Amino acid sequence: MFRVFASRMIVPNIHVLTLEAPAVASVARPGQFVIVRAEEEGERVPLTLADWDARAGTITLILMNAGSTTNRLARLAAGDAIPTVAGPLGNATKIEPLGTVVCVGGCYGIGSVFPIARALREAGNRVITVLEARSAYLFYWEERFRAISEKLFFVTRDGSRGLKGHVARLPEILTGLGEPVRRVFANGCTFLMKSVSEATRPAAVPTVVALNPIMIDGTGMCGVCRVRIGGTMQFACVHGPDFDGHQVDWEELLQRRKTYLREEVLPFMTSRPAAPPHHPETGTCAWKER
Amino acid sequence: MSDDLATVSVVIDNTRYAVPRGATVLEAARAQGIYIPTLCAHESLTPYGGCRMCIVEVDGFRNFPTACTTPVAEGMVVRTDTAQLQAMRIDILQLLMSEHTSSCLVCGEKDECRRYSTTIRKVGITTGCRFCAKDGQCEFQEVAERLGVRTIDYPVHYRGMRVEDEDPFYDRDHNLCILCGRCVRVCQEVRVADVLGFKYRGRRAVVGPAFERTHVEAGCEFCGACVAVCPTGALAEKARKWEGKPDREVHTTCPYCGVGCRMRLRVREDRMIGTLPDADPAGGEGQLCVRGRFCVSEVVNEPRRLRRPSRGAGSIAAEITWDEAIARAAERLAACAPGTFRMLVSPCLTNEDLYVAQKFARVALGTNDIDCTARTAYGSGFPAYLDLLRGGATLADVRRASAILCVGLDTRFGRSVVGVELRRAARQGRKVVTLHARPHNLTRIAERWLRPAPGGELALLRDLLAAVASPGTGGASPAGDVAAAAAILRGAEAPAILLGSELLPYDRSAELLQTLADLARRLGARIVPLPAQNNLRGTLEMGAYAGLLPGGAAVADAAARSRLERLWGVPPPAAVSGWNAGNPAAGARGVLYLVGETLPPELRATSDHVIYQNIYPLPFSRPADLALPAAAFTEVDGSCIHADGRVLRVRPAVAPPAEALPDWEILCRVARRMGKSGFEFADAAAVRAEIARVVEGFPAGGESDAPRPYRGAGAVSVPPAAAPAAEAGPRPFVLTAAALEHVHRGFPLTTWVEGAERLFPAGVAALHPRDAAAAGLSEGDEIAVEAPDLRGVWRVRIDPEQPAGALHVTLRHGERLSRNPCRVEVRKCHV
Repeated sequence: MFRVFASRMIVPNIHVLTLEAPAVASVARPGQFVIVRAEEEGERVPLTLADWDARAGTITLILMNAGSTTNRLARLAAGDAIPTVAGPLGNATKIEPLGTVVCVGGCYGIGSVFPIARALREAGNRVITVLEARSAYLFYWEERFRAISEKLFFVTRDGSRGLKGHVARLPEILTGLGEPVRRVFANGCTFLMKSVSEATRPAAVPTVVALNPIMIDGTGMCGVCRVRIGGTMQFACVHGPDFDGHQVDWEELLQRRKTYLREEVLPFMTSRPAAPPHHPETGTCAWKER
Repeated sequence: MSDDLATVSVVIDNTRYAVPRGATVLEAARAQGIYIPTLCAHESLTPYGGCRMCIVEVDGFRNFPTACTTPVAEGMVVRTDTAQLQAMRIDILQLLMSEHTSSCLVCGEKDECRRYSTTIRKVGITTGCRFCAKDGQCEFQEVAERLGVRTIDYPVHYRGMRVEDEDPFYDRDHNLCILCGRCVRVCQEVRVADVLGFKYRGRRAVVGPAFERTHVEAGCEFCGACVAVCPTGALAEKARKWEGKPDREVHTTCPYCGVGCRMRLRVREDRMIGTLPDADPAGGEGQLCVRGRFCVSEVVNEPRRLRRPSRGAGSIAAEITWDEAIARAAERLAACAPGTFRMLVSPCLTNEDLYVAQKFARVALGTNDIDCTARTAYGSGFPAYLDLLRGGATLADVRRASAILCVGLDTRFGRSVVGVELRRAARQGRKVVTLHARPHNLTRIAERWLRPAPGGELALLRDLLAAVASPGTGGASPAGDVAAAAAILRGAEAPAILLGSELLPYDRSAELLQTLADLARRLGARIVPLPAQNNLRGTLEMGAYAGLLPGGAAVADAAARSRLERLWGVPPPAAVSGWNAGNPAAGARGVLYLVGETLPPELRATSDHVIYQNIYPLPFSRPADLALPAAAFTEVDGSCIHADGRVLRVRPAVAPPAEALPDWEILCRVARRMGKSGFEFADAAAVRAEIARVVEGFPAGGESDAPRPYRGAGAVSVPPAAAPAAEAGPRPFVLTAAALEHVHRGFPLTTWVEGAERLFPAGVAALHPRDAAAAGLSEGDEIAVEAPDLRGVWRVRIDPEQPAGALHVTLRHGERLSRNPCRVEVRKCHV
């Protein structure tokens, strides 16, 4: 049982969940993920570590309430517990002193790219951060990024903050920097990572993406998370999750992610009232630890 | 200049039109196919002028009037599409967009993004169109696209209000609300419910019930009228969020009660995705209650539906082919000794099913042992209740009445469309008197609430009759109320009596109904029965009772039998055994054929062989000997008969799951395999054609909007009511029990509709707080309720409005009490 230390909706529909998982926290490195289950009968979902505290024994996850499991996770309250936190899994992001690097985060990826940006800064890089969201009210952790970034750019779909549009505008930002960018790290939805890769391809700026296929065990056993990288089949869990964005077969990843679209919807085809959020006494969110 | 008094001549966008006098500029323009953007306007609601999208230029007017609130006038010159108007509309829309989650509306990558949003996205909080249940069906989206808005030039503000998803059936996200007021107006104008209003001012303004009450507390009936008119995703139907836009709609009749509302079934890719009210021939948009509006898709799309025939093998149901199933049924039935076959039918079946079912019993099995389960909800008054259906009283009688007496009626979650009529009557100054022992939703509008002690309804009705008969009398308290109610009813024009079902399961319902009939005669009032079963009148006219032939003649009527013999080729049986659904285990053991019904577990044990034909599996561990998958009402062609005699059509919208077949067709296949003739119907229309030859006034087309009195001479018999048992012993509580009404084909709707549990709880006993405290009971405790010949175990709900010393329970489906009301003892279970 892994106790929930803190849980809150940080911006609409995005939740920050802090769990007691000392074994994970003591060895975690940037870019790694954990597999969690919201309840014993539940599915396993991978979530990238957004932060951890080895001394307190806690890990922090950022998740978007987008499906059956994330919906249950989003309704957890401090004091609740979940049955599974397996990790840290996957290879850590390669952190080395390169010079100027750009970190791009969108949506839940704003949280998951943060430890990478912080480690890059600690390794002596000049970190430029580009955060993307649909609207200004969906940004979070701005102060944390400001503390480690040389420059911080915002892109919004509605133009309510920073540049209007999508990360397709990345080339403008890169050109405007006036310094060579050695590597780009992108975290977020598949569309964002694909768009970043397309944007950096013409100038051949090395681009690292953290892929998010459907995954079950996270240790290379099941093979569900296979992705095609430069023509060879790889497992996102044990060979990744970081891959060269210019080598990813995005269309195949897209198709594989759609596999269970109908099944994903089934638990929600109901007129049932939602479980009250953050009401541990009802027992509907998750078990209470004794 | 128009020389026609009914029209005026106006110029819209440089073209001259003759338009109806009294129309608004918006209506006139739309009638000519001219697009004027609107958000708050709705054809069934009064003009509001709130969203300002429909501003136009009118010569001689200062400023820019809204087309929806400006009536046309002779010679008016209107421009709807000038550059200035478009610029102003875009500006106004941008202001709305700045407080709506509009980023997807102005996003240049939205198409690509939609393709890549591969996981489901309508679970949490809507932060853009891709997360919104209304994506692709949103009027706000449509207006933004038509106006070509590409940017939001105002600071974006997300209001950050909590999404209200704790109620069943629909979610409310005020962050998407544009305050168009459609939901408020539909609640006030169409539903006459006044649950919704605007709360707070300025940027804090929201829609909701006043005084921080919940929707349930404010009297919301979950009719969904507000959800249907919401132009954005602010109000969204829970179970439909992923279903998208319907491809087509099918017009049919709601199967869930006797009000017979017309409804539109919404279909996408051969799947039922929702329902909406259909236009009422009496005028207006039509209405539905929570059952018709929100309880259809889950019932028919249920994955546990019966799909293929199966036979019971011990505790296992083994799937078999139709061929084998029909052969097995025919073989077993052919071997039936006389007097060992019984058939129970559901009042939810169509006329076609009911007609073929009784013909099956009478022709193929040669027995009159067919009965409808409806009788179990009516106590001793069942024949008297069926007599009420003879009158052909309609809701139009309610609309005419200057005073209306409601007896045992609560219109909140059932018959809520009748509740709308009553609220409209009260708003028009007509008087509503309600007689009910417990708090109910009519007390808000009633001029007088006659409140008998639980179980004292008959006495109070007799007092009322006496007071009507001889003014000035009234007896003891609540004498004032009785005298006043009598005065209201006596002085009324064309008074109507609406009969709900609260008192019908009482042992003495026959006397209650007799007293009501006397009262109606005395007042010159019409009694409008509101049966809970949608085709109760159909069970009567199709002859789904032992003593009753189709068309309504008594089985004993030899002339009627020989008329049927000429049509059927075989004489209908004359003997009646006395067996009925009220005591289905009586008589010799044999084969029980259930059509659209479940069976009480005790009956399973007393039958040698059960043929079970329905849309869901039996809810017991031991399966039926033969289970035959039937098609649901959304999958069949058929008809049903309203209590007032109108014949309403049921139309197929989607294909039945796997191999399921219409009930009448299964019966015909079995009969044909038994070598019986007269079951060669090609389709439901052929069945209807035969019904029309037997049942007087039945339209061969299966549809007729004319109410018909029922003239059948035959009567349904009931066993004589047991003499009231002597009330021995000082048992402290009076128990009154109501039957569960939310039942379809023998299953409570709550079995399949997850949201219904909150609104229609069964097996819950209401108790006054003082009684609960004295007995040491808390909310949710299980209690055993006992009398010498009765025992029930129910869950406690503490209700300050429940009369002290009285216990009220809504029975679970299939639960029956030997006496109702009766005095009981109550003790806590598991102490």
